[in-house]
Amino acid sequence: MGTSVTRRTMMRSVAAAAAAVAAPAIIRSPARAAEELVFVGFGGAYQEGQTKAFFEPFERETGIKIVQTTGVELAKLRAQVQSKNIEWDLISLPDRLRYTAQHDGLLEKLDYGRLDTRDLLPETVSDFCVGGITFATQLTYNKQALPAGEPGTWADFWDTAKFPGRRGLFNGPVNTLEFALLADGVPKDKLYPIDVPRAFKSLDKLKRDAVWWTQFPQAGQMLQSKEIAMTPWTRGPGLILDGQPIGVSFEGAAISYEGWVIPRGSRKFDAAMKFIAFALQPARQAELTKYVVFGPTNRKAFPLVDPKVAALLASAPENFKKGFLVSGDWWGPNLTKVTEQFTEWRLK
Amino acid sequence: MRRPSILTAALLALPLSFVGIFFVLPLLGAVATSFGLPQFSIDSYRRLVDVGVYRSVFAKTIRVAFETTAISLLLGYPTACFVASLRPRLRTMAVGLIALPFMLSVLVRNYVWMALLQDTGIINNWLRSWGLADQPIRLMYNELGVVIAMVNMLVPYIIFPVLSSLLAIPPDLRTASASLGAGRFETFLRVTLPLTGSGIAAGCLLTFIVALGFYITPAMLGGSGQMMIASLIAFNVREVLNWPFAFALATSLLASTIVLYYAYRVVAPRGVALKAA
Repeated sequence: MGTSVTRRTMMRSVAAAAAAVAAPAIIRSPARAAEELVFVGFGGAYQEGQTKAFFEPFERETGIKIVQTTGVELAKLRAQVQSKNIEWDLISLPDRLRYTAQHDGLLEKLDYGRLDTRDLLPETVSDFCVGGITFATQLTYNKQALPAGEPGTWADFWDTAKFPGRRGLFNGPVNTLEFALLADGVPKDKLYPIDVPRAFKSLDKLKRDAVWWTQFPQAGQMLQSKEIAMTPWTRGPGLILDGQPIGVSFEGAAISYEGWVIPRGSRKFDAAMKFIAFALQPARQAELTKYVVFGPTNRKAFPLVDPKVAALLASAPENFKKGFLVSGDWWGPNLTKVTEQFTEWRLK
Repeated sequence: MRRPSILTAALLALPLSFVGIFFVLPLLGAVATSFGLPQFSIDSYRRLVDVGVYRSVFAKTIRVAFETTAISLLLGYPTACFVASLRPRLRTMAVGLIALPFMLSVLVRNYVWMALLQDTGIINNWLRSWGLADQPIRLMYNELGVVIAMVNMLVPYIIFPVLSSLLAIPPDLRTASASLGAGRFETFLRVTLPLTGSGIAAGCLLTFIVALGFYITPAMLGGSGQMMIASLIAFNVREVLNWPFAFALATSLLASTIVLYYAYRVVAPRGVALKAA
């Protein structure tokens, strides 16, 4: 699908025309419409943190109100763009979904003339999306389930003789295949393009001890009940700060990011850009770490973060060095095919 | 009889247009998308046949749905008979108890089953403390766990239709059967069972169709071999936005359900065929 400027401008004018007659625009008075942005998030403690770190101060500073909703779904975004009835103005989109959204023409190109990107992690900056937070899917284990010692690498994770106990694994190929390759001795910088057959061969060795999980809280439940000894997971740092007997390793961690995007045809492009510039500031990003353990993308934010928390952030320089950045650009076009192969492998 | 028929039509217009606008039209839209309309193409269906994994997942889905239906019937039918034999007040309470689990979210019920069935779960802890097992018995991460949880969620779909057909049997029939010399077992076999046929058929059909659409339960309680077609549909709708293919999967599932239903009507004995479809 093309992303030509002419088509986009056309789409925008069509959307504006549609908006003028559409019911939601009539219900919302035009005067107020300019002072509101609709943000869609993932809910929970994360969105509460975003409210404190971004939305409330932004409203105080600019008078632009952030209306919040939850349930980020590409399918809904596509339906909005296709029907030209755009309900959302701002999303913090995970990189993996970013690729599909961009490829299917669901996003507006950002105006980088209005953003200060000098101190941002360069890997998270692209035409349609600018990184807001980083997180790591990392080796996470229950210390009490491992009396013999603590694992540090994916090779340890695969070594069920040295570290007995079931292994939790995410029920999908993303990250799982990367970890299998790292365990098999592939160097971090040679992961992409992924050698899929080699990854499955490596996974074969773990099949008997693997427990597949689909929901993030499910992995936590299994880890805490010692049903599994270890699993790749994203929420270990939060549990450690809560004083739980959980350990994490950043060695070979899959680091990814969530970035600010604006749905294509949004009538609030200018206000949304203003918000993004605001949210990328070091002080705002540092503030978010008080509520959720997600790493800033702005280098200048780190000195402002509580050192105890900073040590557990994916983008902290010493952690970032140990991990690898998941390639949304590789997974995007390959996800369907590799998921078929993954399903086939699972059923074997 | 003309006036009532106009009245009936008027009364039916609202619900029918509701179903038409919010169910039939979108369904037709989904079928059209699966054929790649406006350009007609059967690529999605070809891929579904050519890539072996979709066939095996289809087979798995139908097998799990069939097992769930059979076990639900075995457990649900006697339960319905027992509830039907209760006095009205007790019966109302029993019906309430059977419906109670519907108040809980499916996700919560899956977590409850996990807490019961996992290796470090309640059942395995009991078995070990009573000395009945040295090693934990694998009750989940396999088909057993999936079927246990699915039966728990679907058995009311059998109980309620069977119960209503049991209650519709006039008690005189049993007295008549007894007066003609039939024992209790023969009465059950020749009077009760045939007369509850439509309830059994409705219950089985409901259970089977709902079971076909399960995917959170197999994903949470199943092992590496338990994969249902619904999870592949969700993946294509939500993750990679391949709607033509997702709708081709959904249309095939719908079509195979309809085929199975008609096959069942042909094979089933006359009295057992679903009357009010």
